[in-house]
Amino acid sequence: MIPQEEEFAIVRAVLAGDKQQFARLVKEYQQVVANLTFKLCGNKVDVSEVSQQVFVELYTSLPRFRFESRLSTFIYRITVNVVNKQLTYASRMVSYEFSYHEDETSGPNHEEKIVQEERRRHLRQAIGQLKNEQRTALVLYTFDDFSYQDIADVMQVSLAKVESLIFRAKRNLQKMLVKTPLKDSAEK
Amino acid sequence: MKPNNDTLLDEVLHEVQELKAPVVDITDDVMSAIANKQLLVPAPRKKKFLGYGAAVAAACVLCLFVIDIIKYTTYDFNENVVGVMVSEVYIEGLDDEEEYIDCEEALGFDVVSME
Repeated sequence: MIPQEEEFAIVRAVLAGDKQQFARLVKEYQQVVANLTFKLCGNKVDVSEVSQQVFVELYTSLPRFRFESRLSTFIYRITVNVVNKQLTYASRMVSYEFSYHEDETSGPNHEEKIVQEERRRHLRQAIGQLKNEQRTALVLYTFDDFSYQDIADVMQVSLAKVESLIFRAKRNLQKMLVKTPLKDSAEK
Repeated sequence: MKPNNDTLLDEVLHEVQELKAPVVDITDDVMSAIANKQLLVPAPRKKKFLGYGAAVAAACVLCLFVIDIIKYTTYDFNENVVGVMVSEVYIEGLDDEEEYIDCEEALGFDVVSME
């Protein structure tokens, strides 16, 4: 992980015309951006392609970076914007690829594993059915070092809106999961 | 502070954390995209004249609005209103035609019944 001061120095170098310094930022953040893109879009988009778009967008947006917040927050904001452009209203429901691991389907705990996999499938389905904004807030909510204010900064909405989105996301997830046999299958 | 005391929700949040994209290595692609498109980092935006213009226009509209409010709140109706034209009067509880006619004759206006 690059220290913040060094990151800022890299940004200043890029702004001064040293394009090659930008490669360091790409290397540092490419997996983070890819993971966030996947969490927000699932299999709806080509994660690698969208991640590239994010970095091209980042490159042209760097002059707007004010050196007041973390660079990661700025990158997350661009990622969320690029992803939102990709997801149209018609395709707002996303799905996450899920496959059983063949090598784990034998042994005494085989049945338990299948139940667990099924349970995870239900959870992912429910997450994929959330509205874009709610899913975005929820995904950012899972970042350990992220406060509500950070989420508001990334999504460019008010703090109250973030609270409302997370509340609605939780409520909707609960509604969806209560309808599924999730609890029962776990108890078996 | 993030409240977090729901087991089911904990499980969902854990699942979100578990969602991970395959490993990507796009550094070369990004750098060549930047080079091929010859993207130049634009200079920081200068404050546009348009922005100032819009702010001044908004201030003018606000001033006019405030002046209007002052005008209306200080308007002396007794002194300035010279007449009112009434074409219909709405009256509750009229039962039959005769009452309508009586009312219309007495008032000199068309009377409309209100249910």
